[in-house]
Amino acid sequence: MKLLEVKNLEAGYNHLPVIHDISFDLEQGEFLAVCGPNGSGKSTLVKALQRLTPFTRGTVKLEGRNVFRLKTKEIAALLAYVPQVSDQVFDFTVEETVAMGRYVHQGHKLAGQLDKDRSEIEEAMRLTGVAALRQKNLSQLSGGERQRVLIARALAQETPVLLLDEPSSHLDINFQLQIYHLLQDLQIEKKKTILVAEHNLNLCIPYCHRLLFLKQGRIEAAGPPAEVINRKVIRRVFDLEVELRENTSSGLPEISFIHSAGRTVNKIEPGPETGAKN
Amino acid sequence: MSPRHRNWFFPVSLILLTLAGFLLSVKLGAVRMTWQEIRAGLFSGGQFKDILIHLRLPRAILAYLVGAALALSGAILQGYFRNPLADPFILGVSSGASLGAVLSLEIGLTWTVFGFSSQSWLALLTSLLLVGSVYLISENQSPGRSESLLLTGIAAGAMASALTSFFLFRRADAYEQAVFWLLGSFSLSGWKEVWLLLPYFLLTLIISQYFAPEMNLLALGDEVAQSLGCPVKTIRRLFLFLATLLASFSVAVAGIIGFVGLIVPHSVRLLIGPDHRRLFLFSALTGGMMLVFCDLLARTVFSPSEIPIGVITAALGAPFFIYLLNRHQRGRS
Repeated sequence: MKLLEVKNLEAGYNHLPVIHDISFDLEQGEFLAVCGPNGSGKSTLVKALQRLTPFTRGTVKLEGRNVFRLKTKEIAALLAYVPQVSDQVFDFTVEETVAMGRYVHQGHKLAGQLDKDRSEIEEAMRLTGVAALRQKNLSQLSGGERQRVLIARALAQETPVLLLDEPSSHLDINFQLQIYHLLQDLQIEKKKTILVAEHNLNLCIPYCHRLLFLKQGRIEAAGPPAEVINRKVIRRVFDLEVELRENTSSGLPEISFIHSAGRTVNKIEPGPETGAKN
Repeated sequence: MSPRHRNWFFPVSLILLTLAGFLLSVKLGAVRMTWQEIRAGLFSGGQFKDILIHLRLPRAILAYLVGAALALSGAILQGYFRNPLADPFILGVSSGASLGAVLSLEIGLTWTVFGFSSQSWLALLTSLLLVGSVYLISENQSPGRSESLLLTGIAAGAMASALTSFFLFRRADAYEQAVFWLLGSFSLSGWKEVWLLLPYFLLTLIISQYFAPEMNLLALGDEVAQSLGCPVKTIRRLFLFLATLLASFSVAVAGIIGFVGLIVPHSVRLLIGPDHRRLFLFSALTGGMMLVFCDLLARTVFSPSEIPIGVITAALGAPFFIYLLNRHQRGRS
């Protein structure tokens, strides 16, 4: 049985649908990347699955249960959402932040934090490598560290599915890769089902099993990277001509920009052998 | 646990200062008395029994309660709006209350119900009415948007202030009574004010403490709070209701005392961190302590005449607040 089944999902703000007619499904342990132009509805889709958008129509079934009929707390036990890193007004510590992921599992409040909560918080911080930062305030961390703290909080939530909204935005290339390595570890070792909204195609291609291309709120193409990363699809989705090359380490296709004729760009001029190589 | 959890200095000094505040409040005043006479007056009834039991003690207790109530209300609203500059009067409670009080003077109401003047009642009613309509208007326009609530509150407050000024302008003789409302005072307070505020304050403190984990989630933003399992709408409504009623009751018994509800929660957050499970309780305790001292100053500095307490809270609170902000900034960099 599929873990997550999405049928005819429509969602948006102020009764204006941003995404329409979205249907797809995910098996346990699958890694899906949702890509598409700015404003195509990637973030809205990620939020809608958790019913975070003001209105949603259609069905999202998780383990056979209709998510939109569940209570807020029940949804939070099934799907964890990792927002984009943003500045917080109130500066909680790393440990306090991760501990908030346990809210959904804390039954009677006066009982306080149980051993189970403690060990889940520790485990989440260990997996994401933020345990050493536990007493630091979020404002003292780098963007990459903060993103990992938010992922730790989602792990503490102990859900089968992780939803991430552009986890690589605002990160340098080293941190971007680190985050995807972390996500892949979680997917393989913890059997987490992962759905990311991602704008950096070359970054997610080697790590996701399938890609979902959105355009103007509708699915334009979907499939494994080897099938959907081609010039025709990129042209349809982004209205952009690109060239594809093979990534030497993954063997998978990768996007390469075409810099249009007549534009001044930095180029290695073909010339004497001595030039750029040193 | 982080170092600030283990910090005992703050709670201990808070307890000591509060005790000192209460002792000085019963000791100092226009009538001088020795500690023996005070002990006798409080416990076995001496010549000063009336002054102590019916004037100084209830006044100190009420000052404590109002300070605690305003600070708790401020702590709730700062979390609610995710804005450390929010205060209990941000949605127009103060402007609504002063309009009610001035209106009562203007139409010459003189009745008393349950020992409270028509001014107190009208102040309470108009402030609740004002915030209620602010909430309904903004919910109607853009449900769940706290920015819209904030702006509507500011607009409505400005309108109520304009009306208040208009009535005051028309009647110069109402000035003295109006000052009581606009700058706050405990000069008329007794046990009945204490009994009005106490049960409501305790109830709010218990409920806020119970729902403090949810407020922590709300502080992260509505979407994130909901994604972590917090029933955002219900919790928001609950806290708004609690904070507004708390501020309205405080104003009805003691007038508008500014600044406590803004700086106390903010300062306490700088000292012990943003976790509302500690912030609510310690804001209330600190606010109470602070207002006991402010009232002490208000009635002793120019004794036998009194200064409005709002003057003291602002005059002392503002520099301390700037000092704290400065120290905090330096500690960070």
